[in-house]
Amino acid sequence: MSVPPETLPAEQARTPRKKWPLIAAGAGAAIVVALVLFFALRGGGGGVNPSSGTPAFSFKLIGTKGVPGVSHADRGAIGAVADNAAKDIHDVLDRMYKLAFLDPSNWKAGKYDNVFGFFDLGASASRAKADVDTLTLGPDAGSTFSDVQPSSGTLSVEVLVDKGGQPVSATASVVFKAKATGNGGAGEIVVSKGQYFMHILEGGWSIFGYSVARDDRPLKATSTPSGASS
Amino acid sequence: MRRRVALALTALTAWMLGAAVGTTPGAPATAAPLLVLKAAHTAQFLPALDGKKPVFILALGSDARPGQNILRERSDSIHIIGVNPAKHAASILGFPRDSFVPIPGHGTNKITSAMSIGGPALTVKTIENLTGIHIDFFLITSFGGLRNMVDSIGGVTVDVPRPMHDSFSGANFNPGVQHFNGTQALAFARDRHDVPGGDLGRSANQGRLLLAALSEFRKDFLKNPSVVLEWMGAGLRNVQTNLPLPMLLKLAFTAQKVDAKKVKNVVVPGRSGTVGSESVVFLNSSSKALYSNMKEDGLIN
Repeated sequence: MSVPPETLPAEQARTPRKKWPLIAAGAGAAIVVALVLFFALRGGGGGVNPSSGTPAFSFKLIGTKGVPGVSHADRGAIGAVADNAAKDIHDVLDRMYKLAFLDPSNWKAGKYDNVFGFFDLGASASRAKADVDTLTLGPDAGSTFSDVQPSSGTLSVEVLVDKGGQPVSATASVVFKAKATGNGGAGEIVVSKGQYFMHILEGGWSIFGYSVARDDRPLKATSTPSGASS
Repeated sequence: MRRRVALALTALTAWMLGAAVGTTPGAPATAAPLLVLKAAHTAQFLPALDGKKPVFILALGSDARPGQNILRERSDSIHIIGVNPAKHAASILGFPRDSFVPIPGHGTNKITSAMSIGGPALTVKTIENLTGIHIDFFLITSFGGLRNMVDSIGGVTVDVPRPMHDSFSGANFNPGVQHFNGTQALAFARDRHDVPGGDLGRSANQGRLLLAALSEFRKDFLKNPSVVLEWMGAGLRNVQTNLPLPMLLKLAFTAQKVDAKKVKNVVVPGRSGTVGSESVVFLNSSSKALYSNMKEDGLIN
């Protein structure tokens, strides 16, 4: 028994064809969102840059050391690998400290979501969020300060190089100082110092551990902070 | 006129004094109230091992000479290191190298020969078969590896329990706390001729060396956590292991929480005997209780 093909009213017949562009657009948007989330969350900072109102700042790299993970390593080659890794880490920490301490669009709002992208997903990022008081200018910075300017920053990097000559892990020791002016006009020196433990992921260097202290000091009347800005 | 001048001078003096007082250090500033400084605070996240499951590592010292494959010579030093991540605690269980034990697929022989017969895989299998403890990872070093490692970390401080003067190993130590370089540490680990119990006493001394290294690591880490990479580099250059790097880092972060003074360093008890012309150690039947004790949580209680 053959069933004659049903004929649909013209409007109904067109409806599925109309949905295709919508479906395609939806799928495209989903892919874009997924890609954005992937690059934002995969660690290594994901290319996040501070806003245009952020004062210039760069750590002064005061030391780089390559630690060979294999005996009879070519010390020169290890040093070159460490130097390259240190440059990348330098860039990552410059951006992170600008976002964490100097970007007014972050500290005035007391929100530092783009800082946590520099940490590994999972435990490291969630712990970093819990340690926001220490790792950033702080959630209440906007109601405390009227201005924050970098004072100085030093960075030293040690890089573990594996038997294949690849950098696999690094420690970055930092001392960062900024002059913060309170809403009432008084000032203080914001001091952040410690170590970041980093490893290299697809998206670049990412922080998987840290041991960082904040030790802010009152600003002395005679102090004239000289910028390490660049 | 004079009165006006006097008033003006008084006003000027008062203003200058006021200004001076206002700028005197320590005086409360009216225009710029002090910021309330937060007390110094720290944040630390060092991803150590977690969970309740203990981790067992088999630490082996090969007697390979330069040029020999350290994975195919006898293991002169054999220790299970049990780590309890939840309790930040550990225990060390040493095996006399001449322990006469079943070697899976190869009859009964000295435990040291398992590695020359079947490498670390057979040694792990032998230990697992003997103790019922699942070994998660192994690491092997050589004489030179131990010496280099100790030198790389700046030496270790050891409390030598009794006089050691042995020409075979080169040990020449008086009792007491002393700092060893790599060569001295190796001699301390190898001496079995003038230590009580011979092979058993030597195994206990090897455990002491592991604990000395742990103490040194904690001390260094406390001063500067960056040393973790130096220590890892020293290890990677001088051991062969199946420990992946991320696990090695987790172990290092776990180790910095373990108090070496609370780590039990036990050698499996046994008695000397002979099999044919070979001198061996027969392990006591009480050792089984030791194994099951350690298996439970990684610790010897």
